[in-house]
Amino acid sequence: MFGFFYWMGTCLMLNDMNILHIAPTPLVGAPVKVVKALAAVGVNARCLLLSDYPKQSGLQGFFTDGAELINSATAEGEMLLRDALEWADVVHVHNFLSEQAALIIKEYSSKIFVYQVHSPQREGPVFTPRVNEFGIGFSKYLVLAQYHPRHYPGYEIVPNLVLFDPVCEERQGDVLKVLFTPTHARGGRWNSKGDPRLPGIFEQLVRDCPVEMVSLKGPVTPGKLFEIRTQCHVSIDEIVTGAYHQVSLEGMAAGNVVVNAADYFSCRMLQRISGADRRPPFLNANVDTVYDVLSNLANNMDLTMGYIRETASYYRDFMDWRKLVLRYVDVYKAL
Amino acid sequence: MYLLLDPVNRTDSGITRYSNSAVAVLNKSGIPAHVLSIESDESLEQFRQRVATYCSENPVSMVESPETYGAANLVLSVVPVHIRLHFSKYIGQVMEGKLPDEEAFLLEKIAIHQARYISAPSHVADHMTRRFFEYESCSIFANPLCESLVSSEFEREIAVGFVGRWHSLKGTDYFLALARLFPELKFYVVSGDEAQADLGRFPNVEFLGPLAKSELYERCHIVVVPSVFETFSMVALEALAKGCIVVCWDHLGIVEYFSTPVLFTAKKFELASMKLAVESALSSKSHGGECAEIAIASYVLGVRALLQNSIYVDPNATGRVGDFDINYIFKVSGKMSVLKKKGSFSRKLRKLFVNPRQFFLDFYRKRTGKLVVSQDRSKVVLPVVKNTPAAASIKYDIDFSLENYSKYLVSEVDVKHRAMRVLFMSDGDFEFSNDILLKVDGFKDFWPLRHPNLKYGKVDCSFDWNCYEMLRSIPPATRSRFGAFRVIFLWNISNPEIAKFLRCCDPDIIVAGVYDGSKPFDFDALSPHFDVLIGDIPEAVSARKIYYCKNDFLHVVIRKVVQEAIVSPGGYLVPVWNGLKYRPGLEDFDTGFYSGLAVLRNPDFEFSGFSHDSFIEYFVDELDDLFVTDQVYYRYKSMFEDFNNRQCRVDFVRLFLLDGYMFDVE
Repeated sequence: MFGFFYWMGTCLMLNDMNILHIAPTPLVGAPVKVVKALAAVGVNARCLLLSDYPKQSGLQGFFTDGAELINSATAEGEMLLRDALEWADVVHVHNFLSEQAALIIKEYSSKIFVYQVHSPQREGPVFTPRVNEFGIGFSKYLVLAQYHPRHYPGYEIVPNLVLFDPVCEERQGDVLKVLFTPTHARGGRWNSKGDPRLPGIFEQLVRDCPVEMVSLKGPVTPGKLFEIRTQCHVSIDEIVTGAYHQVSLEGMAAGNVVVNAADYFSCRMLQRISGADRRPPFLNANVDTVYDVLSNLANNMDLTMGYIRETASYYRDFMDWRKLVLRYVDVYKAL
Repeated sequence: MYLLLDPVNRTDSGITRYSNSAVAVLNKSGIPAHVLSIESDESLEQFRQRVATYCSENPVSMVESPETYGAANLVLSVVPVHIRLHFSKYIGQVMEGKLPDEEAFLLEKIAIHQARYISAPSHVADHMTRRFFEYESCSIFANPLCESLVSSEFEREIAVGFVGRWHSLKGTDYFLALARLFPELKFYVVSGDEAQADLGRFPNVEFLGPLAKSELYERCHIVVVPSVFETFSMVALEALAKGCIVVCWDHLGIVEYFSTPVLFTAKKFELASMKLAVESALSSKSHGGECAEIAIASYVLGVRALLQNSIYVDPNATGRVGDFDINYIFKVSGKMSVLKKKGSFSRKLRKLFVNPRQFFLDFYRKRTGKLVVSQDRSKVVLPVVKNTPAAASIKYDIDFSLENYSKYLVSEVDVKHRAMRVLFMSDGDFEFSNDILLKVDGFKDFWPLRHPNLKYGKVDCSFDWNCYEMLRSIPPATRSRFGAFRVIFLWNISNPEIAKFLRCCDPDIIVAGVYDGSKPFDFDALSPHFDVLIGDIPEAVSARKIYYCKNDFLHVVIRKVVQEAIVSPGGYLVPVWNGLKYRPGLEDFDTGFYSGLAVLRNPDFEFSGFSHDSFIEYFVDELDDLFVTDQVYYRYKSMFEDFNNRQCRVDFVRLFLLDGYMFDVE
């Protein structure tokens, strides 16, 4: 009851505040999801994307739904950007701004600016935060509550939202269905998400145990991917770096056993942002141990079901997006 | 005190004889002198260290060292070094037609670079050395001879003597040919035991053993010095001082000081001329007892001049050797080596058993054609090395200019051996660091600091560009070339963005900042971007690793930093906080995935705030035990020194996580 009133009160306070999110790229949908979540709780919010992913990436158009895609380098784009800036009370900048966009935004110095970073440092491709070069006085600095805070220790953490409603049904079947969707094999400490040994390990696992590896043929939309995930028992995030990613969050929402290598600090960041009384129920594995972890799950479906129940319970109790989005509301409220 | 160095210390060595004589002569002349000789169980590196220590602990006014072996290479620059050109080992190898030892060459080059004064016992020595090394001025004065060796007694047998190593460079072939030309004349040899094998065929030649030098001088009327080349010839001077008549080639160093009737010369490498000279000498009744005094006077004058910071060229030393003569010497020595090689099977067989590594190394080099030594030395273009100043001789492998990226050149260096490669980069010309770099160059026993693993680069810092602009302007393929280096030393660089950029090029690069305190730097801004800070660093600065040192010891610290950077992780845990009690399972800790073990009183402690910084503060307060891998320990060494300081623990955890390491938390 108290939570409901708190929620209502907070949203009413922000009812007359306009929040504009500006991102250089869709950033795998993160800014749009925040805007959608804010809108759902009654906060006026818009999202401007300054570009989409290139066509050859296979991701073009996947994350632009709910956002306004503009090109600030054109006269029309500049006009749209200026209109949006006029409208906004708070301008929430994500990751990076082109020099031209920064110049335009800087003119609106009466607005309140918030900066949120999504990328690590010293990675390949290298991201260097240029927040101090925009010439914009930011009032808050935010960072996703994943592995990123160690790169930006002074920034405040905010959640990465998953807007799917949780699926808490128990899976049937004697074969363990495992979804592993390796994204890219970039170099770098935190961006490297694959390991050349994994395909061989999974092949061996399928031969030895009642395991079905679910694979995707080409890029699919987030909605379709979530639907597939709900049919699986296990979602494997990357198990190389020690981080967790959106895959883990979606896996939890889909009621999967989530396997990753998230370290203590990543888990504590998630625990903090979700207000949970315990660390998230990730099943920890790395390349050396993933065979044992998965074979154990495959050979003991009761154990698997126990993990699924625990994950679903955790997600339901602490990670519902309607609750997590209040962290953003709190940030705006404190400005 | 005038310090002489003897890095050979062998009874049959001219350098040893010279050093002992010189120290006696100088002490008698009122110049306090001392000689440091290498011990039998001492390596050259240990000897160099001992010399450096001796110089720093004693009031040494000048150090004199032969150019070979670089005995004074570690001596601090405040002590003037005087290099005496006795005879370069490298030039000797070239003369012999051997594969020249590049190590020896570099050592000699460093020694000559480092020297404040250079002197030679003769014009020909100076002339010959300038073929290989470049230097400014050179004093010329004779080698001294200890007066105790001088004798006026000269009632001798009509015989010819030879003293020296049994080596083709010492003209052994000419000596034997001479013995053949004078079958009725008695010849005596004082040399190593290896000479006996060659002497068996000559009934008129008697081998006296390696130690009977005095006996030979007393017996022989003539001492022949048929060496291919001598910068001076201590044997000739000793023989003269003992009252013998000396016969030698006309290009030897001692010929510039003495002549008939005590010293007879033969036209270089002409046996007939040598025969005539011996015949003339047989009839001479003079003796050269006063030669030692002349040489001593010349030497003392020369050293006194150097101590007064001036150049001395002995007016009695008449340089008569020109370019043509030098070329001719090389040509003949080359031919000698060809003759020698014809019967080389036994020599090679011996080498195989005595030094199999060298045998296969030489074999490999010859097979792969890595280094081809021409038989005719006179046609070889000899390397010329600039000497003034040292920085001018540094070949910049990398020119990293922010003004114009087209200037950005990184020589093609493969990443394969990156662990063993080091790059020095400076804004300008390494002004302050000449001495230091030369000393670094002297670490020949340490592979990463040997050529070609050592590279030099220039950074143009005149533009205040930031890391992002550098990254944007330089393509990833070019950037990744920096990844070919394990350690990059930046000298007096004030812009932290350069270090930041290099760390972005490859996360595994160790970026070390070297600062000499010549100007103020903002170390608080610099320290987060450097793995190591070296030099005159304020104590308040917090960084991963700091080595406080004065410029005199920078080279030693540089070596240490490289050593620690390439250390292979032992994969064991080091307790850094509490950790005095044993914890079961520490031996099985997965050092492949985690780099530390943090034991917390309550791993699920509550904390307030939303930043990682605030979390780390609570985390540190909850720490019960902290272990890190040996690799981490080396990397953050300075932080552990003050680990009782809470802020230091906080800073460490923050940097540890920022650098991508992970704790296993219990």
